[in-house]
Amino acid sequence: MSGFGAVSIEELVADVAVYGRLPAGEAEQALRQVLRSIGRSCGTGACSELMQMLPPSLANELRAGSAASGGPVAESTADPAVGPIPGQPGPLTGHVTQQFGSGGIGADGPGDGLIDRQLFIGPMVQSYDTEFGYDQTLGGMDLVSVYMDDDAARRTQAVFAALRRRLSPAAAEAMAQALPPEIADWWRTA
Amino acid sequence: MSEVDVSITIGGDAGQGIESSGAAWGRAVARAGLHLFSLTDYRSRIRGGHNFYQTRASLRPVNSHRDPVQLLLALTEETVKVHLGNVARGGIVVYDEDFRRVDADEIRRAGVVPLPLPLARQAAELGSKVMMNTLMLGVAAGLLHFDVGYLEGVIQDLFRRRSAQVVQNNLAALAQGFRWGRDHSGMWPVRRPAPGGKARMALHGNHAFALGAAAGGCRFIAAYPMTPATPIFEWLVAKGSRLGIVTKHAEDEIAAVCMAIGAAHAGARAMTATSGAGFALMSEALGLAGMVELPLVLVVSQRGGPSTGLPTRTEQADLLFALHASHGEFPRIVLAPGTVEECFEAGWRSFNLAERYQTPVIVLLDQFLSASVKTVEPDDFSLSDVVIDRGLTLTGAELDQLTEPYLRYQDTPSGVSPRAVPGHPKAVYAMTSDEHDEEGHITEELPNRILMMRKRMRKEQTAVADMGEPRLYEGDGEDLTLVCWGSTVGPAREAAQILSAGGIDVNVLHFSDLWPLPVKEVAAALGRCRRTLVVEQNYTGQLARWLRQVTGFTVDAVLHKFDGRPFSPQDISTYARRVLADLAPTAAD
Amino acid sequence: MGDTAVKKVTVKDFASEHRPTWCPGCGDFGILTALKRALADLNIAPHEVMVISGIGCGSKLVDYIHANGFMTIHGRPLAVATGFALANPHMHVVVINGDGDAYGIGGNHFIHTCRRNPNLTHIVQNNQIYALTKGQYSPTSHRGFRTTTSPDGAPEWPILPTELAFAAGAGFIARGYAGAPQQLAELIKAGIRHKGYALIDVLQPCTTFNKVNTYEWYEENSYDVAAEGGYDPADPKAAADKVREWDEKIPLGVLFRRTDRPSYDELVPALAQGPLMHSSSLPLDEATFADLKEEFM
Repeated sequence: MSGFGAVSIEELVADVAVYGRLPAGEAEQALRQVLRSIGRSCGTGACSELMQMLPPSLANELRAGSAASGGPVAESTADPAVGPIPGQPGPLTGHVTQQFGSGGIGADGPGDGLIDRQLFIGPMVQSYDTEFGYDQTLGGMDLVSVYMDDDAARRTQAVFAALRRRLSPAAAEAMAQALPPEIADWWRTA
Repeated sequence: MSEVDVSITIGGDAGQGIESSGAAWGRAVARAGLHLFSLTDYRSRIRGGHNFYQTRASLRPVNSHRDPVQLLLALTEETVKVHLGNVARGGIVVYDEDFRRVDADEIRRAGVVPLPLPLARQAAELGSKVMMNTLMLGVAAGLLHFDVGYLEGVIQDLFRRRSAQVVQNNLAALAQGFRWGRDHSGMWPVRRPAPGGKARMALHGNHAFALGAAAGGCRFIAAYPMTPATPIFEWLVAKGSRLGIVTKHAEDEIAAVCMAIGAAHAGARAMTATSGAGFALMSEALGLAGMVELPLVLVVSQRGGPSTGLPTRTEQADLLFALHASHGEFPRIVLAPGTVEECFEAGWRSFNLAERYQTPVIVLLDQFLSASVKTVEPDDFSLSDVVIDRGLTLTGAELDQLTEPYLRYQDTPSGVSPRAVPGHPKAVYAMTSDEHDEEGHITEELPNRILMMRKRMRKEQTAVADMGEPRLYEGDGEDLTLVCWGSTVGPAREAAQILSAGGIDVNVLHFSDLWPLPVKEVAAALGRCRRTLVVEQNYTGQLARWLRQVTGFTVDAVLHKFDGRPFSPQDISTYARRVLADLAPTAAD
Repeated sequence: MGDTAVKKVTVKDFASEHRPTWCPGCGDFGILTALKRALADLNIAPHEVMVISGIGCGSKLVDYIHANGFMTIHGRPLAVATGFALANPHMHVVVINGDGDAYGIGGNHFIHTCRRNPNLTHIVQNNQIYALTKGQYSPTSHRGFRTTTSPDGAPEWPILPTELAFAAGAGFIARGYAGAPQQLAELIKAGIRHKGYALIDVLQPCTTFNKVNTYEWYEENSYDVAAEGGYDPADPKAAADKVREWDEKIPLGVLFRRTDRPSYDELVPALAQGPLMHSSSLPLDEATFADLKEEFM
């Protein structure tokens, strides 16, 4: 259950390998990718128990993801509103000097609430080999990217299963709240 | 000559102001109440190379220039050499007395009267060599007993924005030239044109089209300068602020036509204007407009091709291109007005057709029609003739009443769908250049494809009702019918008159609407002709081919001209006589 | 439209019933999310915006958002959008296309739009590859990138759109990242608010064809200009350097903004009377027509 660095990378990878029916190398890659995505979408705030549970190198994946999404977004004050356009909110004054938060590698952030299922699995899908052969008729590569969607879902769920069983119900629920909608369903049923 | 019909050629090098001098003469003629037809001939250069301006002044309305001319005003020695063969017997050549290589005896042997004058010297005394032009105009007026007052008025208008001194110098030159002309007017054996009545407008096809477009609600033009269409654009740009027309000189022709398409989508009556090569660049976008069913008016003023070709010369070689341009199949309308009056009408009518059928309308002109100046009765261009018909464009009130989801491409019996201009909350829709369904969304479903293709192409059938049949002019055609399209109608009609004066019954069948066509009626009209001679300015006989493709009718002969110069009436009448001599008699003979 | 109260627009208003045909994990999903968010935040309703795209995977976005849309032809959306914006300056116009469409075949229009400064927002889905035609290199692919049309590696050096835009006179230059849609939404909002041409070049992972410029690669190689503190996008000298950064680290955020040049529609007197839809229905008055004819006499 909980405790500092209570779990080793090997244990987690082994679990992912079993649940996902993957070789160890791919299991570890999936584990790291999903942790980054969790970081991107949830930030580190909602994942404190998870962070404690994870060994340092994996906790860093979470942090790296969180930092990449840029940290808190400051309200951008813009120049006067555009001309006579219906539906335009009231004129805003000021000059844009600061747009976004103090994001930077290593900082803890709140996560990007707009990340959806697609962006969550994106990095994982990108790492798959999608080439099937050269497409003579249309010019370019013929692909198997369609299958990758299901593969990504399966691997993500395998990682979720490995993580969730090591968290308290409260922590698991907190994460469900922070995850993007469809991903949260995967998490809850993992 | 039994009637007043005087043609003058003023010739020189490019850069000698030939065009403005010729135009000034033409303007004076129009103000004097005479009918005018001017032909301009120039090269694709700023300086050097021969060019000339040929004006014809007549008491009767004229639709063409006529060769030979009665008076040649030569600002260079080359002018004499080039044009002496086109001066009528008894005509006069005016030139500078210091032209060494002009042989007065050679001129006399041609039956023409040489009139050398100290033009350059006098011009120098009056302040500048360019005064030679004004001197020449004065000489012409003097020779012809033409009231110099009209030229004075034109000169004053021409130089209004310059200094008073410039105006003075030019008026002095005009007066001096006039004196010389009067002194020598005894050598003129032909009748002189007397002023005929009230002043008329003098304008060319480009300006007539632009005026018609402005009157017809055109409020957006994007274009790229290309000879010979540029004046359409420039006129609308000049009038833009006054008339509320948005004009845009785009970075290239592709941008120009795409901007017009974008503006059309926003509900503006939008157009572009170009020549053959520019139109080639626009081909893809033409298909876009046809596929998404947007109205677009696209003027193509033809010039000598292919490629850069003869940029300042005329041709009619883009007909089949216009009829078929762009890949795939979609409805289009092709018009080819033949006279300045028809250009004005096409100006507003093209927009009505474009919006009624929500499809591109190509208006074919050519350099001859675009640039030749003709007199028009001001009342012939009347706002009461102009109709602005926006077809099935839905109004805000109609959109308010919508109860069902709006379908931009709703299938209808006519093929035309009610069109909502974007901006209304009840008609939010997407368009795409891909094949799409009635909503406008991309789909590759087979039944939908068939439905949409039929719907679009059906519009062409519906449009036939709005297209005109070819018109007959002049005689009864017992001996021959001259079949033509676009600007050739002017010289062809005059050729018919020449032939009928010689006892040959010739009429002219003129096509100014080229597609869609009322095929049965066209076939019938052709079938009624005894003998047909197609007269067109291209190498491959494009109208002849088109008529055969559409109706199955094969014409008896084709007169091709592809040297970049417009048909003169004599070109046609001479050839017609040959054809008649060659052709077998018909059953009716 | 009777109701004068301003109704709150939500992201759901832009939901389309058409499922995207993008590959799983495509960065375009993030761009679509960010665009919807930005429009909703600015309370711009679906009928008040026109989204104009070219041809490519990303250009299909028009079909996946419930708003006015126009998928045009390859390379030409900026020209179509300029014409549209000039005919109806009251509609928000967003142009969206890929790097090939915008910087390759559309390159000429891109350059001239930068200096012309029409009032529209340009979002470029820059995945550094031609995806719809199945994986050829693009003007922004890095040198040496191997694809089916560059089996020995792309021979040319890529262009840097932000640098090109700056040189061509663009007045708003920003770079976003599809994997960070929240930030991107803010950039899009700033772009829409900007009066004039706003370029938002968006680093977009292509999960199927570009295995080099991955989500991780973009994240590791980019940074937020606001994070370094003190960067002023209104300073042209600083911007001149910032728009040229790529090889070391890629700057994200608003890189340059100037507000001292008018947008193109402000220079067109004919637009003072509003959209051309209405004036196109009106004939000329007799006096004006008589004057026009008089000029030919």
